[in-house]
Amino acid sequence: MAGLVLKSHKRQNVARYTRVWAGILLSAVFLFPVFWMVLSSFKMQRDIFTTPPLLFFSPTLESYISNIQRTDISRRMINTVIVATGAGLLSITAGSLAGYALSRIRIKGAAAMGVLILMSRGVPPIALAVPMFLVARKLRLTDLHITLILAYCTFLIPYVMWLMRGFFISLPMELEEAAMLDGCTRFGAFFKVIVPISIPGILSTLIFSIILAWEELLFALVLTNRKASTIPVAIAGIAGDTVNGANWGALTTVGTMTVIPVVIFALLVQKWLIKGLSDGATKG
Amino acid sequence: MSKVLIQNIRKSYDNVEVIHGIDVEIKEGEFVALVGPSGCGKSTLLRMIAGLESINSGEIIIGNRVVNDIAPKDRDIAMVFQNYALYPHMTIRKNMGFALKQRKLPAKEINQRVHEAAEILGLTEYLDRKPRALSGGQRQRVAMGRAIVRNPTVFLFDEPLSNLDAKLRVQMRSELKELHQRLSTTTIYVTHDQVEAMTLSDRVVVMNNGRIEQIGAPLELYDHPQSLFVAAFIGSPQMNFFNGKLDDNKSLVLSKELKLNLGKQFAQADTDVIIGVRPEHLVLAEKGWPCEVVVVEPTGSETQITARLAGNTLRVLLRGRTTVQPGDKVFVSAEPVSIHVFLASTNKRLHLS
Repeated sequence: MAGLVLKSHKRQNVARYTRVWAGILLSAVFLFPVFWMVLSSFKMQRDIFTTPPLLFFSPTLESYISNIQRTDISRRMINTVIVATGAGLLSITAGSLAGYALSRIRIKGAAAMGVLILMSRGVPPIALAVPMFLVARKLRLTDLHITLILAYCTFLIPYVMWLMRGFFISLPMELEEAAMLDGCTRFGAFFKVIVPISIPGILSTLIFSIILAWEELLFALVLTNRKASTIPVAIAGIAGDTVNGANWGALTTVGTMTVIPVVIFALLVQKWLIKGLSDGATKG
Repeated sequence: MSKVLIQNIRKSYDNVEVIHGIDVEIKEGEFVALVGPSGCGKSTLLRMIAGLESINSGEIIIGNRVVNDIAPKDRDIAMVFQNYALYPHMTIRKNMGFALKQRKLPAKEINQRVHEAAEILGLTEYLDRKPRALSGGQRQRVAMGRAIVRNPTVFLFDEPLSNLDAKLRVQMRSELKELHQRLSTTTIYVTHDQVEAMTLSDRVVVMNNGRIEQIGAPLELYDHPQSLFVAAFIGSPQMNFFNGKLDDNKSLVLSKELKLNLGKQFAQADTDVIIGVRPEHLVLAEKGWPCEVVVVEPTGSETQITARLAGNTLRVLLRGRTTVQPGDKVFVSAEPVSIHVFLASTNKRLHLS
């Protein structure tokens, strides 16, 4: 008996170690390019291309200082913040309302409507980019923040809608019913009861949306030129510089600068665990 | 306080009718329980009164208003849900005051009314806690408090005690009764627990398959069930039933050898019937129906005997103790008044001639 227990313990341990090491290995594979980018951003130009690559070198902030001072980079950083925040806020507002409607209101064809909206995400963005450009040009909307925000909403709203729908479905319907008996309209019940309870879900969805908009390249490339252009466009420009060749120092530095806010956001999201937030609403 | 009138109410989902024309009149200040097995339509009916479900036909009148097309918030009713549905992000104080705040009452009055309700329910010290910091029984009280502060014309309860453990349920049951005696607000109470329905209410509405089986005072349902369903549903342990035939007007043929004298006169003769006797109405006697004892279960205050009567199982509930053993041949009998006879073809009560 004791032997058996020991054996199964051993087997469990082996399984655990295998899982842990598989995780470490996988993370290493995925994180290595990021690690290398961050490492290279602190190197001087001559250290970047040494063979074998240098793991230890005298780090420098030279590349950061020069890139932050570049007006096209700083302006694009500001544009990215405006566009990503705007698209995030607009999509969370529209998407939450749509998700709530899908989760609660019994309308014929609601499910089909929801699936159709989701299916619109299946269209390759490149197929939309060109028509969008033509429409924007016709309406004289090219190179504006709002154009990019609206373009991002086309893929963010379906995403937000489905995430929030799932979240709202998990909330007991009696909460709104109680609010409606307590004197609220359906809208009132949504804003006074459902939204406050859903804050963690709404915030994490919002942050995911912002991250998606933050990193978007294709629409930004097609729809903006100078004034509203975003940081991914700048990175693409540096990488694809056919005249001087790619400036790897600038590329890795701007890349790192772009990733930092995303990492911070992602860490923030992790903290808001959606589970257990409606605790105490119903039986316990 | 208002009367509630339910007139020929029907409800269907996707062309399937689930409530088939219900009429109930609930008087001012009355406590009425809607009871029935799950799926009988009792919760749907309650939600229709609350305005949370639409009505396909018929009318619901609260006070003097037809409320069919009035929004839940304007019906002046309060409802306590099975899962309490407390607002998790608000303190108990805010939970209880929410409805008053919606009505834009002055903060001072809200505060006063919340305090009064909290006093009645013993919640004063928990007012600044969030629902998650409360036990099940306390949450249940908050849910009631939220209904009380509004001073509504009608209280609706949807199985409010079924999430509590047995001991707490009994305690809350008497608190509820006390509360009703104190406030005498018209109350409609949905439950699947017949004991709750019997002990709490002035009148009980027994529902089955979207229809009303019987409406009556608790003891009336117990003494004179009008259908087999009510007879089986009300009372614990369940009533004994056996099939037979009325040969002349007063004796029942169970088998070729066994004929039981029912001791009363019925209008029909030569008809298939079902006879029902409550276990607590059967006694061991010198003569009567011959049975063989199968199981004896003493609980101290009473003894339950399972016996066999002409192929039928019979439960007898004796007050006190007995020396009867399994295998013994005994006679049981019941007062004619406590023998219920139902027509086998309709499952309805057969009346005396």
